[in-house]
This record gives sequence, C-alpha cells and structure tokens, in this order.
Amino acid sequence: MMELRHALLTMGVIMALATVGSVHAADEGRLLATGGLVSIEGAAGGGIVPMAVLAGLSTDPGWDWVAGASHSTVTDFSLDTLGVAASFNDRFEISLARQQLSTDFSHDTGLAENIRQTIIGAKLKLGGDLIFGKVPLMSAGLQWKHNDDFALAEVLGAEDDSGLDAYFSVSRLHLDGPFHRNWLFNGTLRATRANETGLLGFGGGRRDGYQMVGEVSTTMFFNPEWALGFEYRQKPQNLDSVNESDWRDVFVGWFPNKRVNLLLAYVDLGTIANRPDQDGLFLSVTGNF
Amino acid sequence: MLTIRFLAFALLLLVVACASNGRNDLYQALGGESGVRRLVDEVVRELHSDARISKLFKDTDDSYFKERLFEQFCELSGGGCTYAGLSMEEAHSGMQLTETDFNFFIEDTRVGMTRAGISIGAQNRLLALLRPMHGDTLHQ
Repeated sequence: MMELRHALLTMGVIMALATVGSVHAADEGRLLATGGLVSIEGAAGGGIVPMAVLAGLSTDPGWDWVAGASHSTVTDFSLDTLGVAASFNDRFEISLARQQLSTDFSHDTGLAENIRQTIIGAKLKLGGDLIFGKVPLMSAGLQWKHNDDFALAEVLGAEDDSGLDAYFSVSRLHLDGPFHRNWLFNGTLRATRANETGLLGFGGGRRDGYQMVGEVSTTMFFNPEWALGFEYRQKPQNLDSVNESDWRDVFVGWFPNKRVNLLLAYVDLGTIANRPDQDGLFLSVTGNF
Repeated sequence: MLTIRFLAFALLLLVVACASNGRNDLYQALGGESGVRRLVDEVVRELHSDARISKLFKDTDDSYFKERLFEQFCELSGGGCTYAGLSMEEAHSGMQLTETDFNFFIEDTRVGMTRAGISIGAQNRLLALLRPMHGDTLHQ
C-alpha cells in the first residue's frame, strides 16, 4: 500500500510539472500521442513494450525530455518504475529507469523483500516514418540492465546480475483502419538473457545464451485523445528452478493534451518465481517537458 | 450446415458493407456540398487563429483558397468535383514547409472538422486521403 501511495504521488508530481512548465518551451510539433509513453524499461513505448518512436513531441533542434512512472499490483507482487528519457533531434534517444519489485519473500527465504533494477537505454531511429511514406518507422536500441538486489536471483540459479538487451522495433500508425479508426501497430524483436526482464537476473541453468523474443502491441484510437489496445511480450525460459510466462495486457490510453499521457491496463504476468496467476492493474503516467 | 449458412450470411454482409462504401459515401458523411463548405470555412478560420502557423496564411486570398480547398475535399471524398488549382508541388513551392507545419495543418483541420460537426470516422477517412500529399507539400 505504501508503494501505491508513493507511486501516485510521483505520478502527480510528474503531471503537475509537465502541465505547469516546460524546460525549453518545446514546439510540440509532432502529433498527439506519437511520442509514446515511458515504458517500464525507460524507452519510449507503451506500458510493457518499447516502440520505434522516440520520446517527446518536439521537432525543435536539441533535446526533448520526458519522465514517466508506473505502478502495477498483481496477486503476490507489485512493481514500481520511474523513468526519464530524452531524445535528440528526434533521431536518438537515451533513457534511465529504476524498477522496484516488492515481494513477500522475506518470510520464507530470509532474502531482501524488494528487488531493484537500474536500466540505461539508448535507441537510434534507423529510418522510415510513423505515418507518411511507404516505409514504417524503424529503430534499434540497447538496454543495459543491472540488478541491484541479486541475492534472490542467485538462489534461483541466475548466472549474472547484469545484462544487455538489444532490440529492433517497427511502428506504424495506420490512418482510417477498421471501424474508420486510426490504428498503431508495433513489433519488436529482442535479443535477451534477462529473467523476468532482469528482475530475476540474467541467464540460468536451463539456458544461458541470448534468445530472440517477440513483443507486439496494437492500439486503436477511438479519437485523438482515447485509445484501446493490447500488448504481448514473449519471455525467455532460462532458470531451472522457476517457470517464466509471457506477459500481456489490455489497456486504455488517455492523451488529454501533449503534456500528459496516461495508460491504465489489466496485466496478466502469468507465473513469476513459481507464484501462478499474477494478474492485476497497471497504471502509467508520462509527462512531456 | 449451420456454419455454411453463417458464412454465407457473413459474406452477404461484407458485400453489402462494401457496396455501401461507395464513391460519394464520404462526401455524404461530410454533409454534402454545404457540409464540406462549412468544414472548409472552419478549417481556414482555425488556420488563421493558430499563432503557430497563421503567418503562412497572412497573404492568402481567402476566397480563392477556400474554393480550392473545397474542390479538393469534394474530389477526394467522391463529391464529383475537379480540383482546378495548382499541383501540390507548385502550390507550396518556395514555402519550405516543414514536418511541423504539416502536423499543425493536420491538427487545425481536425479542430475545424470537429467544429463543423464531422464524425471522427469521417475525419479519419478524409485525413487518410490527405496522407499522400505529405511528400508533395513538404520542403518544396
């Protein structure tokens, strides 16, 4: 409960700061919602998956800043994330995210109750366009992850406390799709060794090398401000002792203006650390500065 | 047997849906001639009041501009008009329009259409038809 209050406070601060002030009075020349949100790993994207779009909505030369926070509560865990991302000339993006998974493991294992992870990300726009032209928007990115509370992951058989993910994303906003609505399609191919995105370390006894996983999302915009969509994130299966599930969610996105974006999802994270049926609500807020 | 009947019915629905998606169906959804003229009025008004791009239209001959916009929206939506103006390249030559200008134009067009009472579905259809002009208007 403490974490939820904390998260809501953080989200409130982000929304207030984004609404009140802009660091450099950005021109906000990109169309509403085309900068995505700050995803749980810091990169511009949806809730749990990255996208090819870069953070922010400015077309001014220079840096464009966004910040985001998310909170999810599932059956036995809660996950809080805080991320900052900046894009340069809508060409290159860097990001920093902090995650904290709160568990009740201390009772039965004597291990730390909270697992924290730091993620440093970079994304480069390769070409194409989100809306116009024949070629969809394509980007490639890296995420260096460090698990700050490795004890539990080590007990479960993870090999490393840090790892590097590499991914390639394609995004396209299709105008006038089914139901005469605009649809955003997104696909990512990721090479990773991460267990539960790194919260349970990297590599394991069952498998230690890199594995390719797919991540997709589809969003239908009822109108420019409201959207409905789903995300699906394939996950590797590296650890001997525990099973890992693919993650998925259905979400409602709200883009009331170019400063503040919100996403509320029902997430199904399957089995985490042998605790089955981890589903619940996910709330994410992003502020453009 | 039930499945076949269901499939036949679904196919029939699809055919009917496609048929009703006829050529001037969008023109009607925009409100016909009066509807399109009204939306053009609203869009041009919005362009002039938008401080971000109003400078691009300060020397515009409004009645000429509105007539060309009307012809274009009418032709695109299947209203049977013929656009009589310059090509998009010629019309925007020397303006050096940027991605940002284009996006602001799209946003103002949306505001104008909403003010003219056009449904979101019809707005999306018209904007999708304007999409190919992106390459012809920018950086000319």
